[in-house]
Amino acid sequence: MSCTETPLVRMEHVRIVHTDSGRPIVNDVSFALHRGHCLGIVGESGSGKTLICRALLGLLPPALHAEGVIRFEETDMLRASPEEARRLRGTGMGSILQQPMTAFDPLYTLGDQFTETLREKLQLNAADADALARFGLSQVKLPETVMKSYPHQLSGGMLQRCMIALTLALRSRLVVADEPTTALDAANQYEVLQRFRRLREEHDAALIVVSHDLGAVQMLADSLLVMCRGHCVEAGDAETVFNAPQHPYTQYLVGTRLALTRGFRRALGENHVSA
Amino acid sequence: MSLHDADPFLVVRHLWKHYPERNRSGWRTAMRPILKDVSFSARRGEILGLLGESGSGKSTLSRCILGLEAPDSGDVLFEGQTVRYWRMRHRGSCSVVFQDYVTSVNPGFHIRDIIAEGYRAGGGEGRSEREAVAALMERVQLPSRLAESLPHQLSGGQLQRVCIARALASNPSFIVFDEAVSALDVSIQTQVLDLLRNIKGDMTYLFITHDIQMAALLCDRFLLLRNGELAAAVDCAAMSASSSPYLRELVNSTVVFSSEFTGTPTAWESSA
Repeated sequence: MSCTETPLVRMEHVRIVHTDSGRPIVNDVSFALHRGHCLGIVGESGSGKTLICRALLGLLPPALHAEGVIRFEETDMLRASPEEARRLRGTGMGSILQQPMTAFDPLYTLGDQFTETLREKLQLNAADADALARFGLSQVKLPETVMKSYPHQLSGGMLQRCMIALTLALRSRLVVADEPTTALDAANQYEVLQRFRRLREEHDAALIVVSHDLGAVQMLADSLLVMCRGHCVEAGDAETVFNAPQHPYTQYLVGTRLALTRGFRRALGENHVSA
Repeated sequence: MSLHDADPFLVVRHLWKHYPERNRSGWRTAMRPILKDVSFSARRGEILGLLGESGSGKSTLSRCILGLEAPDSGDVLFEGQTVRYWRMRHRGSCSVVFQDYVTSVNPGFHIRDIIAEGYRAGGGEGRSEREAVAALMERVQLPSRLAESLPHQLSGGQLQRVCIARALASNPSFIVFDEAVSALDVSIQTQVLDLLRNIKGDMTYLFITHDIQMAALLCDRFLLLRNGELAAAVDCAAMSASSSPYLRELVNSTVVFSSEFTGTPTAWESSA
């Protein structure tokens, strides 16, 4: 974290507030994220993980608003016009959201949606967009028949990989992945995590991974933000936080996750090398 | 594997199940096999895991075992009797807990009535219902003040506990957990797995999951299902000795969290 260049993403004392009641939902979150780095955000459901991502993407629900400083490159996301934010989403920051089932339009084939997005965001012609979409799908090991499928014909895991394929094709400088592996089974999970790793290494993209699965976060993250009931209770280098958690809540998270792996380790005689 | 057990509780023999395949216009074209000649048995009191990727036939197999779906061929025998006959003779003896706790309960029912439903299904009588529900809630560690709440007022972990209490209410000897902890937060998963172990008694569990770490933690033995075929039966205590290539593959692609943290975490005041 010794980069002197300006960070790709910077949040300073960000609060997310319910506009009507003035009730804060997320309090005082600050971090800086540089190119090629990965930030993990962990915490239980309802701790505000997703809201931080949505504030960054400019996609907060209408009843909420954010205060503080949120910068993506040169852009002040809190003051950016909706058009500006929309232009940045996709090419500047890609997002992979929690519910793959609602991320696509049910009435169009995935091929249609892929090419439409690629043509709009990258100003490609139809043939190039089609080729790029097929290439993207092959990157996440999906067959080309997916192009002709409607969302309901695919499983959650396949749709999740479609979203990843699209983000890869758009070559976003920042990828925000909200619970990217929760809907996937073990083999696909590993595949997707590897894919994210390569995304950082090959494209120098920055990554924000939100998850309650500490295993997945550990595999990717350099730095970590631990959220609990809207507060950031611990932050810092990922390995340090995982190995020597300070806050009782972080200790609780790490402890319960370790307990879950105990049977697996015991069964394999402790000689399994972890990822 | 253990078809020749002295006294198997559950025996599944040469089970086949096909579903019709439809082409793009919606016509049935061919029959696709979902379960291909699946045979295994479970001992009384065993926690048997069923592990497989999505679409491998886990849920179909569990539905056949519960008698919710008829196999195309093959038998499901509980204590030597067909599942239909056995369930008729032993009311409330099979229970199931599903992954989606929100759609598993009636949103307009109070927690007390949700649990009482299971109690009545097992032949419980109206007079002792109140005490029975209170006892069940205590057994799954739910605070008694939640009895008059509605499902939407509970957290995910709490609601899944309600589903577990309802499953227990009919006093079953066999419970199927179909991805019952997968949708919960990791920190809650551990608590619920502990709970399942604590309440087990002499019940037999079929624990369906796609997470090998969870199977290894809870189960005595697990079956690996791949594309409708039984790829291996693995004894958890001797997992490293198994020669199954599919198991190897699965183990190698498992993301295991590691930490040097050794302290015992203070029980965090969790909302679940």
